Amino acid sequence: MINAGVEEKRELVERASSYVKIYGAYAECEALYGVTNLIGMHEALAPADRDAFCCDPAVVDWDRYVRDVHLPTVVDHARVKTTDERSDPDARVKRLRARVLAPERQLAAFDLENTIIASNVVFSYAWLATRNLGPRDRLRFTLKTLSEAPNLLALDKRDRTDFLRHFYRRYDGASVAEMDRLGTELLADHILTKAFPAALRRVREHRRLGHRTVLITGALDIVVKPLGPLFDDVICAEMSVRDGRYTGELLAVPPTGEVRAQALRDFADQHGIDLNESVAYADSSSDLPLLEAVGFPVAVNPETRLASISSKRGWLIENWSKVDGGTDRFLPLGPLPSPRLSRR
Amino acid sequence: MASSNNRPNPRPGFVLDVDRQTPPILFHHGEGFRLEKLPVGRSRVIYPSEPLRGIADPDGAIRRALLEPLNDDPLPSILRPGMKLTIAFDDLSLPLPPMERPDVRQRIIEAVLDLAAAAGVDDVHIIAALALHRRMTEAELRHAVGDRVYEAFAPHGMLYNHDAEDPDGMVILGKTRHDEDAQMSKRAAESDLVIYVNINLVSMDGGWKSTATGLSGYQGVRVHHNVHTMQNSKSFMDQKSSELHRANWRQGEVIKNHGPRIFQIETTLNTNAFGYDGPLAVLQKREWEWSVKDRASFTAMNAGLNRMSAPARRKIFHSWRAPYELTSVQAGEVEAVHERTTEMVYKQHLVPVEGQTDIVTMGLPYLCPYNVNSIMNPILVMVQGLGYFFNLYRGRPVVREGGVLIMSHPTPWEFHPVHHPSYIDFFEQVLADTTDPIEIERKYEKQFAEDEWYRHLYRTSYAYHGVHPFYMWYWGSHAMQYLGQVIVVGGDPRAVRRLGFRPATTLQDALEMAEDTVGPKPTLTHLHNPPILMADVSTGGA
Repeated sequence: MINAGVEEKRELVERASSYVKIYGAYAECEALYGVTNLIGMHEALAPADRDAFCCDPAVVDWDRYVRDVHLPTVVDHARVKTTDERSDPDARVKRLRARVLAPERQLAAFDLENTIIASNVVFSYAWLATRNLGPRDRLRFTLKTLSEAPNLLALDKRDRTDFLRHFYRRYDGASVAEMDRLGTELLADHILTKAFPAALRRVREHRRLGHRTVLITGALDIVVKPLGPLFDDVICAEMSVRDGRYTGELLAVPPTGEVRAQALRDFADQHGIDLNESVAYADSSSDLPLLEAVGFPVAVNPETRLASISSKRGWLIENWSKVDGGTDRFLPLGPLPSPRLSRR
Repeated sequence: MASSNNRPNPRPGFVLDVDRQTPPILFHHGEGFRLEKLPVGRSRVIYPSEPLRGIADPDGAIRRALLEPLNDDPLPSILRPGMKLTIAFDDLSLPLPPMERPDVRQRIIEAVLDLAAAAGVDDVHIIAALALHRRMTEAELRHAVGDRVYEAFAPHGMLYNHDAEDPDGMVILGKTRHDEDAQMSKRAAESDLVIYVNINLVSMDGGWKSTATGLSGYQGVRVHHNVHTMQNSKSFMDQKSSELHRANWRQGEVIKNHGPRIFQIETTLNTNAFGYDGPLAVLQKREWEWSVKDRASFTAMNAGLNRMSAPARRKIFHSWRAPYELTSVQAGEVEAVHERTTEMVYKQHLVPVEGQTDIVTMGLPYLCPYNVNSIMNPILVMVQGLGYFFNLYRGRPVVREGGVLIMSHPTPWEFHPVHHPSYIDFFEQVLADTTDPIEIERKYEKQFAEDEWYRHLYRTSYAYHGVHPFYMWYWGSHAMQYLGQVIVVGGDPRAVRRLGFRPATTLQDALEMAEDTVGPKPTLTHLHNPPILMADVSTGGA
């Protein structure tokens, strides 16, 4: 939201500075105008015309002209209109939104992180990994995760796919049944508290309009599963399983960056969907391949670069936020296992 | 619990006329309080009755009720080996605030299970009869039924939350004489005996509503949870004038004729919500009787609360467990039982009041039936004021038609994302369009009620059903139709306006704004609630 705001302000400043460049000279101008030629022209007129066409600027009452004629006209033109002549400031956004939600659209693809929920793979992992830990182990986990954070961030910046592969190895040995059970809890305790209600509404609005909705994310299927009923289809990262336990190895390249755009194209081909008639929602410039693959891209809470690209290309920008009332934790940890309840 | 029975005889509720000597009056204000001076000479305050004396031996009383039921056979004679028994109990919304352990439901369920075990009944399911409310968490279930029952039944899938959206779990029992559906949980419907364990906090609860609504789903509930019914329930707390009551009783006839045998166990509690001593005891006292110690502890509590963050305040209030005492328990045939229960509820709650005034004021507390361990969002603020408090009358409302309701609550634009997801959308989408209950019902109800995502969250997470915020709005529709204006003191102005009400910073401002509607020098009634009171309003001058 801030990024989109900054981008808007930057444009305003640029426009103001270009006006200064063009008109600045006039504001500073001091000049003496000679009237010799003007008087000469007046004298060259036929005597009958001389009375009808006065050319001498000195006969004009300049003070009165400026005060009563010139300035009121300028003010009148420059005044901000407060009546119904004023155009709706949100008209553009509404027009773009109406195009995105037109019945003839065929598909709406959604990124997950920072588009539907304000969370990421590290947070979901932290929640799942600590769900069955006691207080002391949790502290150890938190400290360990914090110490690794700089390296993880650097890796994520360098290559998203490498980062995911590296990070998902932490699930090595996790029980599939246990993760399935925790997935439902994760929805209530973590995902819903981090979700953008407007995003959840938008997905269902597309569905009501008969558009096919697809969640397409590099997040793991365990984490994404509880959100499944929200969408028609889910394309996400999947891990291989051996003896009822995850191996930490991905089955295929996770759908991020270019791979994600290709995954969407493949999906569209399979289902006979025209991507020119489709919508995609994402938050970051690394999602550009996905956004560019469709006819109606939407930037959600865009970072600065995507905000700038979006406004230049006339894309719809949506600013969605979490609801007030949810918990805000630095690193979301699962609730303590089986709380000892006060007994009778 | 027994120690509090040594109290002297409780004094009945009464109406105080405000004069120059009257001290500032306590208003609940969410997770805080306000002390307000009311206009002298034209204001009155309705005080609730003091808590009735509790039963000294609750377990003994419960046993007696099961062995000597009303219009029914003693419970042991109905129980037999091989039978299918379902015990259903009132959910998290009762009582308010949640009561200290042991919860009365635990006492009753344990007593019933003892008899069932003695009779050799081994097919027993225990269901939280929550209709379209949110599922109860493990901790909440443990609190209601006790650890012993929870650990014996829950791990085997025999203690669980009712699921009104289970496609294989619900049945239609038949049609009422008005051609309305009566719906019920399949397990309950197919049982040889359903024992319902109720807590009757207000006169609307209990009777056929327990099973006809509590074990029902959208198809059965929408029969009476609609604008027409609510606008024709004047009030829904007065059974004789309540269309809500009549509709539930019509469904009750269907249950009686086509459903399982019902053995109803109803209980009433006194109004000892805040205790006779302790940090909140002052809330149960009349202001001019506050001792120096009361004043000091109230001032200290308020100062402390003001320094806390909203979530911290919320956490403190929601951890309060009320030391309620059982005042009656009766079991047997539904209608006979409920008649006795209603008598006891009225005995505790009714306060005779003469005539109506131009304005009614109320201080809304931090809690309503739908935000236990949760957030009281703006829609719940509306329902607490215009739904519950406004309707706590018999005869006529305490405020005249076209009068003004002033309620005090911070009304933050906040929602619990897990418990109230459809409320968020209702507030952002529906109320942004219209606040007219009829228009809302016509245009939006179906879409929310049948939304797959809300259905998923209701069934698997801890969300109220998608249609629930609509019911809240309908709950307030009688008041909306009746009142000339609603003003919220100390609320978030944006949220208050979205509700269609007017925000005021102080009670003084609100009273001045009210004069636009009711004219100068208006008369005023303040409901000193909670502890709960119900105004028994007779005709006559204010």
